[in-house]
Amino acid sequence: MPERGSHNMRMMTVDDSSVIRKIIRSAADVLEFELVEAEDGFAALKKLDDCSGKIDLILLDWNMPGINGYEVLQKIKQNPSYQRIPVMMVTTESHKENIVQAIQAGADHYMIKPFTMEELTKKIMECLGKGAI
Amino acid sequence: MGEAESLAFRGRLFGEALRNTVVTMAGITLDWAQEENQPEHIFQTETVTGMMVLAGAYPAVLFLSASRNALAEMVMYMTGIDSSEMTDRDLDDGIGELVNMVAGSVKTQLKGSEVAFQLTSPFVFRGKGEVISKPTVSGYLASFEAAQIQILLKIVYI
Repeated sequence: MPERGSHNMRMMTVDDSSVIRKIIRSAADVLEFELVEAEDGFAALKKLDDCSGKIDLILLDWNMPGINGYEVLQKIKQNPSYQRIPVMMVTTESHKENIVQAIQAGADHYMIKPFTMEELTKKIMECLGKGAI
Repeated sequence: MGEAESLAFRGRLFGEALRNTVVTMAGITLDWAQEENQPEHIFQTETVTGMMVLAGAYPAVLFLSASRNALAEMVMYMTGIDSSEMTDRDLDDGIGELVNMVAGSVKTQLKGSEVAFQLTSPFVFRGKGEVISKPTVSGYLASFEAAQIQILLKIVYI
């Protein structure tokens, strides 16, 4: 089972689509990661507080009702308690300008929907510095 | 390029984006079955329809429509959820996510062109024989098939 330090890997998915969250849960199961699910940006920030930021990777949608993923990314990267957590944007926003904007705000990786399960698991491992599985 | 050709060109961009999305996310290869400009059809009955408004110089509404069974099969392949355990919420989110990915893909392709558009959030309705009524409406319809699955793509310019 992949581990970092003294705890199992824990990943958070932030997406208003339950279908995408379920696909990411399938990937987490394959990788034997714990998964925290948030259906919007406010829930994500609250859950980060609830678990004291003990998250190894955040998969973040861009277009969500309420606070969008870009704003969530900015809040995470401006918070000293959470800014070390790698963030991968998982979004249909595939234009170069969006990718640059996200990277400038601190996103570590960028995944464009649609994607295959293989691409998703590979990218997750890359985000964690573990290379291909 | 004439208006009819332009409508067909844009329609095919959405059609290919749909095929790419479904084969990538669900492993299902959709075949083009029918294509028509200025369709007079209404949607089939008992459908679940995902919609997004495309706001730009040529404002339009994009519709993806499928039967409950067809959509359940696609969502099953996307998520691994058994189709018999699928809830209406799963189906709504499934068609909503499909329409979101299709429109998002074409939005990127057309960015910077005279037919570029912005997107609303996707929304979904279920029901029989919905009709869009506007005297000057123009549009594009294509249907796609794979085994027991049929999905309709419709663009209505408003």
